[in-house]
Amino acid sequence: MFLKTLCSHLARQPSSLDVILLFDKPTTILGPICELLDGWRYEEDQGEYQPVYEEFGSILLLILAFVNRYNLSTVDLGLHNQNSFIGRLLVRGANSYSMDELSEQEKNHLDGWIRGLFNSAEGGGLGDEPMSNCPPQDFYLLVPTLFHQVVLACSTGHLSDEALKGGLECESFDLFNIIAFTYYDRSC
Amino acid sequence: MTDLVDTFLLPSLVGAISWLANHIWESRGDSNTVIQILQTLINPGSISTDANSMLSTILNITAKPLEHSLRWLQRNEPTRQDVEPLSKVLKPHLSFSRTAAADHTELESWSNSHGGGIAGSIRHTIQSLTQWSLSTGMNIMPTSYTHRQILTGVRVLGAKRLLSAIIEEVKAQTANGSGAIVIDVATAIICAPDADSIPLTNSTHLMNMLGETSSTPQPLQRRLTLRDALRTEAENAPKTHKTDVLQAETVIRLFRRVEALMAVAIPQAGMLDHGLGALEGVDAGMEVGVGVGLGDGVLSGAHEIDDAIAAAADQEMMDALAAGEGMMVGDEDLLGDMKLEF
Repeated sequence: MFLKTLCSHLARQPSSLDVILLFDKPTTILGPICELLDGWRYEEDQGEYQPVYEEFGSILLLILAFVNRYNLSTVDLGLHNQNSFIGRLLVRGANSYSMDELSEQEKNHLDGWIRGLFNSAEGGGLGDEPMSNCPPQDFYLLVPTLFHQVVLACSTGHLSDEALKGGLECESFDLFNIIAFTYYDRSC
Repeated sequence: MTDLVDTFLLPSLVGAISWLANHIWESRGDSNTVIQILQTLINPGSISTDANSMLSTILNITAKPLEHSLRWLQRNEPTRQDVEPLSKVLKPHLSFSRTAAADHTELESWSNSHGGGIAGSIRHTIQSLTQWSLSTGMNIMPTSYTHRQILTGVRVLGAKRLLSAIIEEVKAQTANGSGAIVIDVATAIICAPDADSIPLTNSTHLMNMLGETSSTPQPLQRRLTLRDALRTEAENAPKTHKTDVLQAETVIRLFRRVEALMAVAIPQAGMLDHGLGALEGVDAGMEVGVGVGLGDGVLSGAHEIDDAIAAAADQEMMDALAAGEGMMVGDEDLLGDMKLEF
């Protein structure tokens, strides 16, 4: 069984987390998989990115389920380094950042994702590009900022209610332009 | 954006929903956008079975803070019609968290109780549990109990003050003639494990994180537990006995029950040796009339090792008592009345 499948099954059944913790400490169980996610790298000849994101996400979701169910801290997880991915995600994972606070690389990643997600009308679905450029760790840390941009684009009135009701899949290209506009505007 | 509700990006909604929940508080008067986005994310139109179960996990994780934000929004804008449907979706996901933190409604009801705040409400709980045990009918509803109440009590009042409330209730119920049951209830409450009371075995993690490289890490200081507080009370029992006999008796009875129970529950390496050593010590103590003598009733029979272990587990207290007043605990009835004899 793949680790991904195992993690999804466990996360799906909250009581299974209780049972696991009857037998061992959170550090023992979560320590190794936190380290796995911290050190997650693309292969040199990585061909497909979606499966990587899928596996990463399933494992991460199990960790987040544990953390949230028992209110675990980084100490409980046995994290040696608070600057590791999981450490940063737990401490600042729900914070969004302004353009000034983002590094060049982060801006590029954000740009890639916005193009990928909202420009999909042209190519039909999200391409591999944002994922191949942006490792999953960086993506998860950028998610709040990404949503901040979406909210800004919508609330500045550039985006109609109708469009939003369409499941944010609205006039994808326009939305992309609006967001790009808003966020470049803010970055100036 | 629908890509976000596909399984490979779906876990990102944990961060997204958490951020949106916080943003509701910040975006005064402009929550429409956030609500509309939430509607799309939480109730996506078409979604695969896999994605759906994943979404359920995500809602488990994010529901509580989001529900708080939504309630706040509803209170501030009572005419809104779009908040209630979202709250409804979140409802089954609200009880996911298994932490000791009390809900604010619980906390309000406990501290509002007209019998003296949290201490009063905990006394009431003990009283109800005792009465429930006394009732003979099978169809009586069990007393409602959540251990969060006790944990909150320890946090708010501190172990010492909560313990004295428990002891007061034990005395009150004993006066009512249900001493055997109430002491069972109190013992169970004091013995219940609490994650905060377990010392962190590997405090080096924290030191590493703080950037300390000291070779001798300081052990983390933990909160005083009810059991610790009871031990202190028991150490002071000889002194208390001079002024308040009933109080000292109650403390010692409770202390012995708790320590006996805990000694069986946590077997530790090397404890048996100490236990046997203590047994000899106890015998010697009885002969010369100094030290803690465990009465005849205890020393004969299968309980002798357990009690000796209990005594050994708390050698310090024994020493303190031995050095002090030279107290003798005679145990006439193993589980029932226990008298202090000096």
